[in-house]
Amino acid sequence: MRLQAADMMEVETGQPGAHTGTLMNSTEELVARVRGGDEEAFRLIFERYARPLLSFIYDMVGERGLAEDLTQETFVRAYKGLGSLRDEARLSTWLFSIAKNVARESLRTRRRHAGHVELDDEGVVFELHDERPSPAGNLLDKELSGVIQKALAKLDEDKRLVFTLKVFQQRSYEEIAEITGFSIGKLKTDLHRARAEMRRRVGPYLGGEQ
Amino acid sequence: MRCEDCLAAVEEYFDGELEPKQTERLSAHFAACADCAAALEALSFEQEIYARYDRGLEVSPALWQNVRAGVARLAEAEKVSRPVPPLVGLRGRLAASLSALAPRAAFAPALALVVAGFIFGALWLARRPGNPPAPGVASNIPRAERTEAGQAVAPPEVATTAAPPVKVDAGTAEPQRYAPAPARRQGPDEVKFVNASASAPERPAPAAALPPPADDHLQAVESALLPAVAAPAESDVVAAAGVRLPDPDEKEMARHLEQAQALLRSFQNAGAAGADAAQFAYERRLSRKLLEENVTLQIGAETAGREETKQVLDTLEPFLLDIANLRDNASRDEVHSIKERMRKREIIAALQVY
Repeated sequence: MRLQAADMMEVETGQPGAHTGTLMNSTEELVARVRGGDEEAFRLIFERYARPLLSFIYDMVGERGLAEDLTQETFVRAYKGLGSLRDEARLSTWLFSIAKNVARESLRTRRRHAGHVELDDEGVVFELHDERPSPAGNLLDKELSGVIQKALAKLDEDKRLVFTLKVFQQRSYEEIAEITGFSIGKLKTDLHRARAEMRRRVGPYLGGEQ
Repeated sequence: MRCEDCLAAVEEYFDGELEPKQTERLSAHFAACADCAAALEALSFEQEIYARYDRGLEVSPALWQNVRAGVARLAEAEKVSRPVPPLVGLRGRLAASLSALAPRAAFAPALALVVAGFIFGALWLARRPGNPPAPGVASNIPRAERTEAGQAVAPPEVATTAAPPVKVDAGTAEPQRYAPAPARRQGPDEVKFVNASASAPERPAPAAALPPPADDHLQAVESALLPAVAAPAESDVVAAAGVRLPDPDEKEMARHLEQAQALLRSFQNAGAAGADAAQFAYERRLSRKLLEENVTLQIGAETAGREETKQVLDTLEPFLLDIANLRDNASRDEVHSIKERMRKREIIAALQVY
């Protein structure tokens, strides 16, 4: 069931999981057309990947305006570097890899400007402990989203990266390793710890499930 | 299967990352163990909760417009950062001027004769013993050329008959190629070249006397693309100046590879006695810069069909990426693994050979 949903999402958003010949060919064709200077093909690539990349970057940086700027930067860099893409079928992974770099650079810059304050330092993100927990069924999605976002912001950068790619973007371990450059062992450890931290932070809002 | 083994693998099972055999074993265990099944159910519940995460994001049409604008700016910036050689502009202007005459074809031969006569006259006057150099001819030749060779600038006859532009060494009288320093972006050679060519429009040349340098790829391509009448004019200018046209792509490439080589060496040699990753801050910064350049050069090489160049750049890229993305707290193993890959691929040697 979950896999089917993931496949459907792939077709719509260019996420992994769907490796049908049609989709692969169309991606390769699009890349070839862009290399030949076809702007329309680049627009199609943008339409296919803009949403997942925007979400991913937003999860990493936590600011809507900044996420849009960085998504723009990602596509511009992608356009610039399309000639260096060796496996057109892996366009999606490649784009996420660029987005990851762009987001990380931005976070680094922000940290420098903020006097080396880490995102997960106390006081930088909202403190959840003062809020009164509610049962999951009573939480509005909007409220729940706020809680998830705050919990995400408390994860350290590596864990947030891995967690976002796995849980929200449904990437395989192999793809996450390719995007992040982490070893499978490290990403499994980070993912396990990220899940545990998220459970600890979001759990109280889910009616004491954890 | 023990519960602790099952629980250790429950996330991988849930993520679909286990081998089929392991998956079967765990499935059997979940069917028999309520506690482990509950752990799996909890993961599933969490995933449902996370699936409800609504970021309230929309991809606005403005975003695409901004991307388009960004790409356009990038193209513009690349044009600026890789300036068109001045002679290309000259060639374009000459081509445009001559093409403007095309409808009046009857005037063209007469005009060509007048121009050629004027040029030969000016050159003859300039070369008469005791005569000062004619303005706009020898005076435009870079000082170093004139002083080094005595009357040392290659005589127009030599220059116009030899395929590659040469200069004549006063001592040996052997023609030698003028080889600009490869690794300087704004070196004196380049300045001289610009100066020499800047005055070129003042002295158009006899047609068909100077083919473009056969080994200069950029010029060869341009010559093929531009009207035949325009190319010899530039070649003559170059030959009269006694300067071999430096190919901006080659210079840029040479400088890039030299820097990359230095970077890789520095990385390879650093930390031999067990340093931490923090000491690679400079290498990471430089690597990011080179990575950007690498991409630009890759595009250039691909566009120009320079397969060998592109291959070298492709080989270099992963190493630049590895170093650029090295984390602040990277372990020694990570650093070692990059070094090991560098060693196996013999990347430094490959750059040297190129």
